[in-house]
Amino acid sequence: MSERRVSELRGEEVVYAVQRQERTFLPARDHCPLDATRPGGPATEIPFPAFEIAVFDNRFPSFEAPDGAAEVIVYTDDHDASFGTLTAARAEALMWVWRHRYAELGARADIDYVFIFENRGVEVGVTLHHPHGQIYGYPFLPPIPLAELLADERRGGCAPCALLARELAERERIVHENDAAVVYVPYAARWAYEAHVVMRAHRPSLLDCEPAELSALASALQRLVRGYDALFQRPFPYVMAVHQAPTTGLHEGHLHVEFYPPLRTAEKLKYLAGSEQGAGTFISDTLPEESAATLREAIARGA
Amino acid sequence: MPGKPPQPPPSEPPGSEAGGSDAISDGERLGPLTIERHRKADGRALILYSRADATAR
Repeated sequence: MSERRVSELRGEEVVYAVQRQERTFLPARDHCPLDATRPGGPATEIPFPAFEIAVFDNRFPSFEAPDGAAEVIVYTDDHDASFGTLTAARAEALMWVWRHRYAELGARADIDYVFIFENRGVEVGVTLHHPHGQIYGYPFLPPIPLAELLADERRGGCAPCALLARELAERERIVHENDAAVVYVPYAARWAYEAHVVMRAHRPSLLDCEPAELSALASALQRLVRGYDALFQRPFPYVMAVHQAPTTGLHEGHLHVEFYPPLRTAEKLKYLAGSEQGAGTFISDTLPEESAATLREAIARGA
Repeated sequence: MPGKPPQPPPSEPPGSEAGGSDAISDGERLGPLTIERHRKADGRALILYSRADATAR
């Protein structure tokens, strides 16, 4: 069972999940625990010879009932696929699965925030290469979603709506858009190729989306990820973070998906060093407008 | 929800799991998907989602 402590200096929670120290780390290709269990092959987390999308309780949870949840969501039984290479129908199905998990976990009294995310690439600490994401059900409201709600208060309305309006007016940081979602490098991006995929309409959560919007969201996410892979002609590492309304009964927020890629060139990583870790201020080597122009071209190439 | 899962036997290779599961529901619908709920041998929940038209694979 994890232990939570509050850092008085930072005013934040720290979670100690010491059982995770023993979690599976970059296993051999033929011992992937997220593969289907093939006849004659090793038993895996999914005891079926084939599957489409699977969700299960994390064997090495950061949170677990009655104090939160930690789930793994496996996108496909194709070990060598990625979010970007899924069929459009599978990516759309994934949006429905995200929505379902948000609804079920969010209905639990012990969960205040449902956080869907994906870590892709060893550069961001991935321990299993099989295409998958994770879902944490936090028993508290984490600092970043809280900061977004505070931004709403500060601005006197939905901050993502206002920021989206600015991007649509200025256009120079927009890299892709469709009927329901807009993708842009934010004005104050921390990472060289950070991008936000924002719903055009004010939708606090996936539960508020029409089916066509879920389909468009999936499409926008895939276009971005394929563009990332085209950027340096290599699988592009990132952290993907789905931000939506807390599940405390306060149905406020604006569904959007943030990507934090650590690469600043094909070979160079952005490290969180003195200023970022010790003072909390990001120093970026690139301008968002220039990154957006480069990423826009990559998305066109990756389509 | 299940409690903390048991530790695997020491001889188990990394990432392997006790096989098998019990189906606890079948055929729930969610938009274009059908949902099958299972309980893994170690007590953890497993949910399988499939396109109802089976064209998404």
